[in-house]
Amino acid sequence: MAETRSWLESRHLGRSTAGAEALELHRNLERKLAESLLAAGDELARSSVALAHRFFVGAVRLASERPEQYAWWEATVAEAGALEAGGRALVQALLELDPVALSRVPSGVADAWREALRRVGAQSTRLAAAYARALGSALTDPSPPPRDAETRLRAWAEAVLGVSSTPSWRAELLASHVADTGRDLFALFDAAAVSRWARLIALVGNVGRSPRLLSYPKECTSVPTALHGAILDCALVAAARQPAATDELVSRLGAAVVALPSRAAVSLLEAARAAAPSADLSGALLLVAAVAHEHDDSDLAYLCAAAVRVSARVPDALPAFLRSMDRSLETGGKDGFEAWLELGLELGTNNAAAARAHFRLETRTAHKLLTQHTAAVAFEEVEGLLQRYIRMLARRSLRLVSGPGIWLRPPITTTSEPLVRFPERVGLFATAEENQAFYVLSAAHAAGRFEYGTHAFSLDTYVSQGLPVNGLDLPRPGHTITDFLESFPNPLLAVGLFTLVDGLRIDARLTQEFPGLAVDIVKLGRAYVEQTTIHAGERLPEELIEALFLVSIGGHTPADLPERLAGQRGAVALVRDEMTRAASSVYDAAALTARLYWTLTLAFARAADGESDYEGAIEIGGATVIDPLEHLESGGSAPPLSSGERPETRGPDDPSPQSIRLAIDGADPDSEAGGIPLSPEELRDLIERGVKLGVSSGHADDAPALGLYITDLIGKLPSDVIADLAKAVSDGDPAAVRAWLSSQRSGRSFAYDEWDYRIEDYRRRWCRVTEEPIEGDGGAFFTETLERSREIVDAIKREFRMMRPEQFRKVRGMQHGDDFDLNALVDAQADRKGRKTPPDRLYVARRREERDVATLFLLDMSASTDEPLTAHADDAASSPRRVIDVTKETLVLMAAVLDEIGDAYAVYGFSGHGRRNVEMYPAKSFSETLGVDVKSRLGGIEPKRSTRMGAALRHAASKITKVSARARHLILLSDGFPQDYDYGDDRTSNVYGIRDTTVALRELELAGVRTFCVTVDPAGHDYLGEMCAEASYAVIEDIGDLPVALPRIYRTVTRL
Amino acid sequence: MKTKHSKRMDRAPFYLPIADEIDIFRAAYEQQLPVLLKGPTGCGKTRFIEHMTWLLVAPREDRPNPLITVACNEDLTASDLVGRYLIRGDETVWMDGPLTQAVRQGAICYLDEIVEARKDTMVLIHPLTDHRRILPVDKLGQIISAHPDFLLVVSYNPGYQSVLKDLKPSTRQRFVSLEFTYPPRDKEAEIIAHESGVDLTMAMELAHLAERVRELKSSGLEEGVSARLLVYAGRLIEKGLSARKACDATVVRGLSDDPQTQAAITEVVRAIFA
Repeated sequence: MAETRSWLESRHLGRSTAGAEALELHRNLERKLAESLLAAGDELARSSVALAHRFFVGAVRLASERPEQYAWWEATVAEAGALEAGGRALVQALLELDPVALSRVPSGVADAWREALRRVGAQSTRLAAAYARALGSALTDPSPPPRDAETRLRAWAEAVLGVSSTPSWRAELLASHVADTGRDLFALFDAAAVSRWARLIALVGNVGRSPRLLSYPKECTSVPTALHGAILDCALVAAARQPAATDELVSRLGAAVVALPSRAAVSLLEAARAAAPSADLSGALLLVAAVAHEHDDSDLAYLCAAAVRVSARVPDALPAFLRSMDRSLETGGKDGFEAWLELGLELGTNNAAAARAHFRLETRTAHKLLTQHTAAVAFEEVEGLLQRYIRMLARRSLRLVSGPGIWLRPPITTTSEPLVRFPERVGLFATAEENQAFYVLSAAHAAGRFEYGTHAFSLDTYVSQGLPVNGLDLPRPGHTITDFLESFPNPLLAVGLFTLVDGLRIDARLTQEFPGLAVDIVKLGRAYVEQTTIHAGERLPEELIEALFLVSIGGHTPADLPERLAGQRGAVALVRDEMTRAASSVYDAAALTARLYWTLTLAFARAADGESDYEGAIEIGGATVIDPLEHLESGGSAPPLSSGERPETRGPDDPSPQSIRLAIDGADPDSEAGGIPLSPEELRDLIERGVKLGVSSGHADDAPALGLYITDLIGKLPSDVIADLAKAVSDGDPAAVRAWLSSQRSGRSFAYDEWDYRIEDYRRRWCRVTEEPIEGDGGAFFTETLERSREIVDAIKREFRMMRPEQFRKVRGMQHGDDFDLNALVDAQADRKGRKTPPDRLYVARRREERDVATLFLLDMSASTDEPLTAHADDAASSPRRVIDVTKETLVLMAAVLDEIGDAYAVYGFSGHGRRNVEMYPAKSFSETLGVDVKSRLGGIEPKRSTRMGAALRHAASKITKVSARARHLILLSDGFPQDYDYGDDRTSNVYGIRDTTVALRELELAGVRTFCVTVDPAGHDYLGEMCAEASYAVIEDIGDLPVALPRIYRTVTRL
Repeated sequence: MKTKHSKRMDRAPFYLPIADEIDIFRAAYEQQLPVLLKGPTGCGKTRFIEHMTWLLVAPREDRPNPLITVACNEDLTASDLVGRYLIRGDETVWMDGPLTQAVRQGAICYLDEIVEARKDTMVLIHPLTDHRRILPVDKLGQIISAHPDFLLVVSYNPGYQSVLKDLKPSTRQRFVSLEFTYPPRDKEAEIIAHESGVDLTMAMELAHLAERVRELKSSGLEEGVSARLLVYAGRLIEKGLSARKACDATVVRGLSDDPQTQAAITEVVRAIFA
């Protein structure tokens, strides 16, 4: 029946492609169907022609393709329309869906969906619209719906309804949001997760002035289904306490879970749930995620199970634990880790701060525990030994440095300052002895290069001997062996070959001159080779290299190479014979290297012709991937590079390492910039584990995904230095970051432990002390003071002289001596006459009294010394005298007097700002005399900043204990108590500082140095009694007395 | 009293000349010029003077000890060297000190480590070491002229002293100086072999060890290995101890208490002795 339907004949419909197509299709429909369709369209057109059009287009398609499903669709739409009673939102939402796709959904699911729509729609058609839209599109996804789709659909409906019925003006908004999230999360969440999710949204959304709409972070999309619930559980617990941090926490949890194998992930979630949410925890999770790929699954499961124990007992310490757990396992092995864990748990029961520090690996005890339990040997443990060993074998002193990785033959280096690079840690063997022997052998090889001519190589000589130079990029600026090797087109290959070839020669000579080394060379070499996997493909070049490796380092003979390398036996035997000849020289090795190089290159070229997917990368010694700069160092700026970096052991399907964004903030540490401070070790770890680092610019209040802050990296640094680091990080240049870190470390700074009374342990390497120069005044102050105080000085000198004993004392009653003791003689005669046995102590001896005293004066140069003296009427002084001026004068007088009586003394000032910036100012060292320089420096002393006494005392200790004198003293001159902005947690309390100083003084006493504290602080009695050794302090009430008082104190203390 | 009198020497004390020290000493002796032996510990100074004494000064009835050695130290007084009155029973008796004995009898007086002695003691030797060759003895009121066969020899270890103790130039320049150092490896091996009885190969290895350890002199060790320690090691080895153990007991532990230095030397011992 050709009734006029304006909506059908509307131009809009006919003109559009879809519409025209639909009209066409409609004509071919079965009549009843077609009419039903039109009727439905009519109904819709009553409220909106556009809706009718849309319906028409979709419905016609459905009716054409799947007519049996059409009725269902029509009914659904009709129902929706009825529900809305005139509204359009729901219908509109429905019509946005693709009915054809929807029709493919299994009927049970589809029905469940419709049922859900009804339920939600009964409450609110707007919500139903959201539901329809989201869940409908989820269902129309090409991938098949999950098995429990119906349950899930119901759960989503429940969720929406649940949230919407909470008594809050945001309820509808949040419920709608819940529905929206269903679009992406339908496939991820099971029913339980859905309900938690909704609760979480409600919790987070209802806090704060404006509702925050939580979204599930994309990091979590690859989390296994079963674990979403657990993540959300965790998040719920956290959100109850700290809703604002929820998104970050969830995102981090997701990242961590994705990175971990499932058992570990489950444990981690359990642990996280028990701990309090905090920025620290989020940061720790991020780190866990970042480094997880480095460890194998069983280790991760083990560590996360331990984490559960930690968070059960000491939840506050969980973040600290998570950050250090993998390093602890690596350092200490299972045994060490267990011991460390147990101690930490124990500490946690009484002293949470101690447990935290322990788990952060900040305490001396933690460190000791781990290193004791492991057979692995760290470079710093053997550095002294290696230094001396090399001195003996190479007949020269070399600088020793360490880096990550493992190698037996040190990289060949020539820098302006010859240095030898060692692995940071050797844990290849089961006993510490063998690990140490590994280091020693490595040192012997490095020494051998000097003893047996490798470093005496001269490029000129090589060339003049007519040795092969084809293809080399000559001439070069330098003439050393490194220059030679760098002249090859592929220097890495050249260096690797040379190390193997010349290494044979060195080992042969070492064995000959040091027969005791022969055993180790073979044994350790073989073990090393066995432990490092070599991926030689079945290509000639790699086979040759592997064969060389096995023979040169592994101690194989050509004959006992494995069968698959049989073809290389001849070549390798030639090399070996050549290099083990008694007369072979480095030039022979160089020439042989060149020949091998070109043989290999040709072989590569031939192989490349034959293979389509040829890759030119080779590995020499498998685990020792040749990093472009590993074996070559040149120039003074020598950045330490990753030698022997572990290769990419991950396959293409492994999860890629995380990226972390660092906020490199060098701002004044005083400002509470927040965020998690990253220690240099942690940063280095991240680099070594291949984590991609990025830099974020911004401040603490920016978007939460800012990652970790390096506010506490290496103390206050000038901004250009910080900028260098930022650049290195953002360039994604691990080598540059390493170089930056190392340059920070190798500046002349000294690390000292600090005593933390709250944890009853030392914080290891907590303070960094540098020695700063004093800008002198040319000696003006010194001369002027002496002039002004001539009388006082003379008086003091007189006193000193008077009190000094005679150089020689007569001691009577000796059995041997120079002269007779007449009194004793007379008595003896009388005894004899009286028939008593006379004593034989009849002589007098002259005993020399020698004075062997050394004193270090440690001067507080803190800002408070800038205070002017109020109680002193200065005679027409232009600027008021300050505390520091008085102490300077005193020191000048002391120096003058001590110079005269010949006692050894030194003067150091100290100040600084923060634990990483303690500054010592040497005015006079023990070995200097009172010359122009010293006088100038004494005059140049000026007030600075803080007063971190403990660190200053420890550094001073290192100076005075080197002096050999019979009596050693340290006199501390101060004007107040120990104080620094981060001397302990509480800026208002002095207890930490006083306790640490007490311990530092005691350390000095134990080392045989008598200490004495002199203060001009009238309140000195309050704390000096506690801090100082018995009767070893003095409070000078009137600072004006100091110049006279100190010499007197000195006399008493040194018993003049 | 801290003097030492040499025992009678029946056969030549073994001494392997390194350079022309024997000729120089002989010439100095014949010219009555005092001699200063300079060098580190254990490189043969004492053995040398014993050898030279045996060569040049024969024992006689009035000269039973041709070589009179005094180990100098801080407590050594002038009376210790020159002599003092002692109470023997009822009498006061004058006892000649070692220096006076040598001066009277014409023996060689060897003051070992002279720098350790007190300054007032060192002043004593001034009149003996110039053309006067006299020894004033205040307590006796005598001035003794030295016997023509008398010679004063002193030794001195330049590297070892603390800053305060050093030979004054006015003292140093009275002597003919002979400088002793550690012998080269092969000569040292000969010495070790002779003194300890080990075979030359083992002696060479010990000498090699010494050479290496002496490199530490500037970084950790105050004093290099003395030949004496090596001879001890050799003798222990002769008695059946393993080379490593012998060196441990002598060289490693004898030279230093610093654990790192000991460890490093131990490694070198292990490297040299299989």
